[in-house]
Amino acid sequence: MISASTRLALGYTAMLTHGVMHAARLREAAVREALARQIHLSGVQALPAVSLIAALLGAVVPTQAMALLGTDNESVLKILVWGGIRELAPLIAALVLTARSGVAIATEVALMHLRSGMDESLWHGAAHEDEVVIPRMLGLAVCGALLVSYFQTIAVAAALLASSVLLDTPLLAELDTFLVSGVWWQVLAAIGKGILFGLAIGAVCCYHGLNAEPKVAAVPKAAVAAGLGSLAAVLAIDLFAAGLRFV
Amino acid sequence: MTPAVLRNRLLLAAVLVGGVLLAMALTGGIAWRHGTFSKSVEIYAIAQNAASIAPGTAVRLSGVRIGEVRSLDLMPDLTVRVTMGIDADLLDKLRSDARAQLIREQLRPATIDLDPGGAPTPLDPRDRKIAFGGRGTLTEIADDLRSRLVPILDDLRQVTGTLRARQGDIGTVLANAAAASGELAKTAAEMRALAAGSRAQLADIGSQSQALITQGNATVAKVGGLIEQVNTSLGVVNGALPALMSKAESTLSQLDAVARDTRQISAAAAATLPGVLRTAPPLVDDANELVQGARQNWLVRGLLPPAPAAELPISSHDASALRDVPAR
Repeated sequence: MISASTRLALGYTAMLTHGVMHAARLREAAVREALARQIHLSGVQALPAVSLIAALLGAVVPTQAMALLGTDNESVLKILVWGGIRELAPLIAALVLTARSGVAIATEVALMHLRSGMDESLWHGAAHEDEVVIPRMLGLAVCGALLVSYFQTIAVAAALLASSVLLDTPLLAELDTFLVSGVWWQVLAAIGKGILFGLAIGAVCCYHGLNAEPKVAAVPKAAVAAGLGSLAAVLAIDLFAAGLRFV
Repeated sequence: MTPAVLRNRLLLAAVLVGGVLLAMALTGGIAWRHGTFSKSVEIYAIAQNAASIAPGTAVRLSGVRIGEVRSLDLMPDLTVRVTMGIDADLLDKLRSDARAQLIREQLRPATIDLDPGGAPTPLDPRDRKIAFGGRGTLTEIADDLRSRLVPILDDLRQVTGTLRARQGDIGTVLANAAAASGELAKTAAEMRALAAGSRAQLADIGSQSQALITQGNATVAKVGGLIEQVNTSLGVVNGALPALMSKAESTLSQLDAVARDTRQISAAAAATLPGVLRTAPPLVDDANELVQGARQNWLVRGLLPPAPAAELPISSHDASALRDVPAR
């Protein structure tokens, strides 16, 4: 008898593995179409919100850091680089994906399950499941990378602008100081974390949507479980990544 | 494909390409600024302790970042080899006495500051080792200061306690010191008076010495005049001496002629005088006999007392007594 958490973890892992293993289905036009649609819905449409959050955070972090640490430009930029790029960008992108797309995906799949009239055998057929899961999971992975890339760029730009205004220094000088303080692989690491977060959110949400009971009351339950499961999976991956850094 | 779908596809492609470009720009900019695309060389230093140092720690020269720490390796003697990658163009700026200093300040990341050194020889290219030193944080400096001050404060506390215990003795000592100070003041006044007297005497001696010097100068001037006179006299003598010498010579020649004449006269006299001189002694003897006969036969001879005998002195060795005793 395994616990519910273990069962969920195994289910998420199985869904993730299944999606990655059947990525070759992307050769099918319908799957690619679904993938493009998912990227548009979860990435392009989420971009304004993510950009606004990034700009606000980028402007607020230097202000608060200077209030706390004084006008120590290097420390402020260090905080921005380490906190803003490597940690905050993937987490914010994951939150946006979970709140905007993850719950929607779980609800959509659960409703498809409920209203399609398709029988159990068809739903659990490999072909149909792949068509549902792979575009959403890979779409969220691409969106994760995309949102992280935009988020960190916009956040850095806003932070440099705010720092330049607050310190009355040239913007190019601020940019040079940031480039000196930054570490190039952290940008790629953050994008990698965004990809992992997107994959995990897609797998979790698809799992809860596909495993929802075929009744109306199960749809909100699936949405709630997908949201909580996505956050748990994101934090677990972040913890794992943090652990890898100290190995 | 409908226009809406086409527009969505184009927007999607633009967003994807934009995301990739932004990520590449950010990564490439940081990598370029860190010298990933430029040539770098490695130098190393041996540190006793690598606390606060980690791979990626900035390495600065004159405050400008020129590289970063690449690796930390624990050596067999428990020191740490800190390998740093720096810009290859700046390697020739480092001399053989170059030095790395770890700078740690509160709330700021640690950095390694390079001192390029001033030795005439450059850094050995075969073994790019530089010295390493550390500068403590404010906390460490404060701890060090506290560890130094605590013993001093303890000593001060003990001294203060001892002084408090011996406050009465100190009063006596202070009174004695005050008395000694009074005596010293009197002595100082006497010394001052003595110094004033000495100063006056020295002034008198100075004036006398000045007068003596003036007299000496006058005497020297007189002596100079005398010397001039002597010189003048000697000049006169020198002028007159040849004439005197010639006169003396003529006089001597004349005296020689006189002597020669005298010898001739003497020879002539000697030729005439011997007959007279040969006849004179018998005449003297005859005259003596006559005087003796007359004395013996003369009438008044009886009237006169006979001559007394000579009285001999007591000591015959005194010739002066014999010579000075008057005849009786």
